[in-house]
Amino acid sequence: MVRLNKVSAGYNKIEVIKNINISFEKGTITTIIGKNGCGKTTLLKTASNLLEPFRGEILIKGKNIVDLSRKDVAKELSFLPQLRDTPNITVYNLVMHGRFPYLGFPRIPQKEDKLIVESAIESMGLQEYVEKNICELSGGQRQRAYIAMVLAQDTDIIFLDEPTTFLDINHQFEILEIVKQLKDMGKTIVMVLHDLSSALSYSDRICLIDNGEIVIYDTPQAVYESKEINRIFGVSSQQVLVKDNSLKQYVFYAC
Amino acid sequence: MPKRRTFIAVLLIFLVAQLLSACVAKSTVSSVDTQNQVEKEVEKEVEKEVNTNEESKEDNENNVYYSFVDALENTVVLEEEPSRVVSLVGSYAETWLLAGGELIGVTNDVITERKLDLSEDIQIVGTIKDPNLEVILDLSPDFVLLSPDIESHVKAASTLEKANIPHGFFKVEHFEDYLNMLDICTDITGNKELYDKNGLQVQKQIDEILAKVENEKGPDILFIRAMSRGAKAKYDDNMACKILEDLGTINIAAKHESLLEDLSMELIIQEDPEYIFVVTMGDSEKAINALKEGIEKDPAWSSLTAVKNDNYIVLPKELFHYKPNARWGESYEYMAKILYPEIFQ
Amino acid sequence: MSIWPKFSIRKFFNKNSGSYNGLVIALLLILLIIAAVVSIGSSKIPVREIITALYHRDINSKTYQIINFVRIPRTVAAILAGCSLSVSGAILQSVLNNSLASPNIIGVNSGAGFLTVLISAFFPASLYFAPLAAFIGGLMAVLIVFLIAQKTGASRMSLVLSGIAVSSFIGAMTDTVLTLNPDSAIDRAVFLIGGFSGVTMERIAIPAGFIVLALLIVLVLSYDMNVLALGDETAKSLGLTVGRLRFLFLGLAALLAGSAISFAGLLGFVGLIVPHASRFLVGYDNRFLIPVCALLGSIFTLCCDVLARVLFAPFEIPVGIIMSFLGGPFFIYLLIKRKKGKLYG
Repeated sequence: MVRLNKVSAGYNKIEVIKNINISFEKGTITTIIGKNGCGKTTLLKTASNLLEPFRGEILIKGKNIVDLSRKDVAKELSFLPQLRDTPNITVYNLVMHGRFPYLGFPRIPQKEDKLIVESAIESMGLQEYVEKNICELSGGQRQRAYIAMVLAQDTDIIFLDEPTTFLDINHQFEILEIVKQLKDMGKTIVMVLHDLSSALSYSDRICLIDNGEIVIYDTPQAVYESKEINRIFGVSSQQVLVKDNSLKQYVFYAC
Repeated sequence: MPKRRTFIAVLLIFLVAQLLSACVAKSTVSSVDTQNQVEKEVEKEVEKEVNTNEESKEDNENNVYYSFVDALENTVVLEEEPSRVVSLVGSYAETWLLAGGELIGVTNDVITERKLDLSEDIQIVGTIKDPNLEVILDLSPDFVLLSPDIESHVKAASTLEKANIPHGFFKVEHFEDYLNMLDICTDITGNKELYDKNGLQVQKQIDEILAKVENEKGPDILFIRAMSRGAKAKYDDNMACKILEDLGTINIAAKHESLLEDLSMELIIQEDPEYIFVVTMGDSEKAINALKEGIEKDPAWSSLTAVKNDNYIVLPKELFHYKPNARWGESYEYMAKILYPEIFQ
Repeated sequence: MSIWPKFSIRKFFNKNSGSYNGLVIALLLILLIIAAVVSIGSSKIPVREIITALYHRDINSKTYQIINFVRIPRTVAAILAGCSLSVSGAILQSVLNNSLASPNIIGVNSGAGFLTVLISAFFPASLYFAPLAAFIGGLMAVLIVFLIAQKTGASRMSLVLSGIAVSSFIGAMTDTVLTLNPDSAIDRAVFLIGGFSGVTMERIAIPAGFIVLALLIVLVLSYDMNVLALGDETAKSLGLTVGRLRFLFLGLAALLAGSAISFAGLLGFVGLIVPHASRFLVGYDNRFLIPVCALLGSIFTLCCDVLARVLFAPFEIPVGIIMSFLGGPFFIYLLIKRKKGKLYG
């Protein structure tokens, strides 16, 4: 779906990520983890066309990203930043913004757009809050509203930058479950998470970055067994079974 | 960088659009507007023009009452003798009255500066800097007096033009200008005897004074105009300086033009003029005395000959700042008495 | 509002269908006000007479003269200046995410003023280019402010501070030009405060064209402005070319403000107050905010202009003073009420 070939990128001419070669496969959830400043968000932004790489190429479904117009890219992938302005608009209007890449000139939503928006709101369980101002919602509800917007954008690829930040733990799991739902719809998800436990529990692939380079890119189990996380973070890890021994969870603790 | 290109493109588009619309606008705008926007380099030789142009009271062809060329070289045509006259300059209002005319509208400097006693029927139409066009139009005037140096007057003229209201620009800085204006005004009012009384007689008075000092070599002087914004030395285009010049004095600002912009204490001490004349906006005796005391106490100023000899003189603004009009002779006399006390008792 | 407890103006405006009611009411209001404004002045002219005068178009009728040469140009100028300055303020506040942004804080005013003064000092014959000069000056100043703010972190405080710094610097340059060229066609004091006296239809023709053009473009792009408000990254993700669009909006804001300044001088506070008041009525959706700003801005300016003309008739207070009197306290209220400077939560 998304492939990065020999990509280096950064800010103010300083390279943050170097020579990245990675491919995110269709219908998978990939989580990028690493220490602060290692380049996780840089990688995410570069892959989603928000940051221009110094070197290398990015291919979306086989096509080079520079050959696509911004609108076309917007129809293929969407990016939800960690921090963003919260304008004073209703949930409905916010989700409708997700249809922006598809709106012609003048910007009047068509019937199809309205249907998609309504179904996105429904699938996020926000029907009661349709006319509410997003500033008045709780953290979790607001995040769901934004995800509804991303849904309405109807892209095959979704990039999420720390989607669980600042949320209460129950809301965190709520969002992560929704991410799983998105995968079930056939979307390709790439996200950055801070919480290592959640990362390993919810992903199909883990990408561990250190100093701007990929240390390991494999299934959660393989990454756990490689103990690379322990080395880089300076922690110990343990695998546990919960829910009557049916679910694997990963626990990290001080050495 | 795409930003720069877009900026240049946008700039070019608007430049072209503006050029095109400017060309279109230029051709449709009336000639009065074009004139009004030309620099204010007004001819000082206007009096010569006026004398050689038609001053006919009866123009057989068009039955016009009177026409003349004004300070902006516009030909002003008065179809009939004007009876509803508005003056937007206090000094011109006085001149009109001196010519035997009557006014229906004046600006408030007539009261604040000239302290003229006017009947209650006369409408105040605003300030000299900002006359109220609506009030003026409401009076339905048939002649308006304006100054070319005031922007709001120039703007008003274009509207008066469109409304077919005759109006004339006058520029009065020196006595000759006043005399010429009085000439035109008395032509219009028909009171030529007032031209004699308020004009030619004053001329005579001035000529007599100047004759007495014809061969005198006058002292070095400095003339300062002190306003709330600051004080500046004056030389050329100033009415008081002309009087001083006519009386044979030498203005040190003529030798040092920099003084016109910046009163340099060094230069003044270096030149050490015999007389220093000051005109201020201050009214009260108190303010003027305070000024003099301050000067006398100031170490730099008090070292000057003029200050030591009590020749640092504050001049009355009615005679040396506002146009004195019919009292111009008085101004000459006042100054002559100071400069040549032996000749003028 | 307390008389009808069930009726809330805010709810009335903020309907589901998006404030169409608000627009209609505002439109009706403005028609009423135009009729009132044209009939009020130093003399009251009943609406019936206005219509008769306009119908007959008798140049010699003083009613027609007043209506056509004084009140209508002023009304049109006030409407244009009011709507363009308030829309400019709305754009700046939205695009820069700063509730204290307005044309005069962000540098547009001083930049436009400087270039206009420069042109009148050195190229007085090219006064037709005043609107273009005002636009370029405004745009450059905004760019400088924007670049400086970006370098220093682009927080709302840094934007206001760099705006003040750049404005002061440019203001000093303007003052220098005016001091060295006191004969510049534009009367300094009036220009700096801003007013509509003496405005003619010719003078506002070209700026009017630019204003209408810019307003149309802004209206068409108002939805994109909404998307921009989601934040740079989200907007980019949705396919918006953020940098170029922001630059375009800044350019439109500069064009609107610059055009208004070229005939109205430096009017303050309309760009700050009106967007806030409009937001209170119709919310943050720019599709409705922009038109309501335009209408409210016109209404506010018209009312201030009437007050300016009527309060001390026949003397006129410049409109800018009345606006500052009303705007100053409101600005202070804003500073106190607002917790942070952010426009969005």
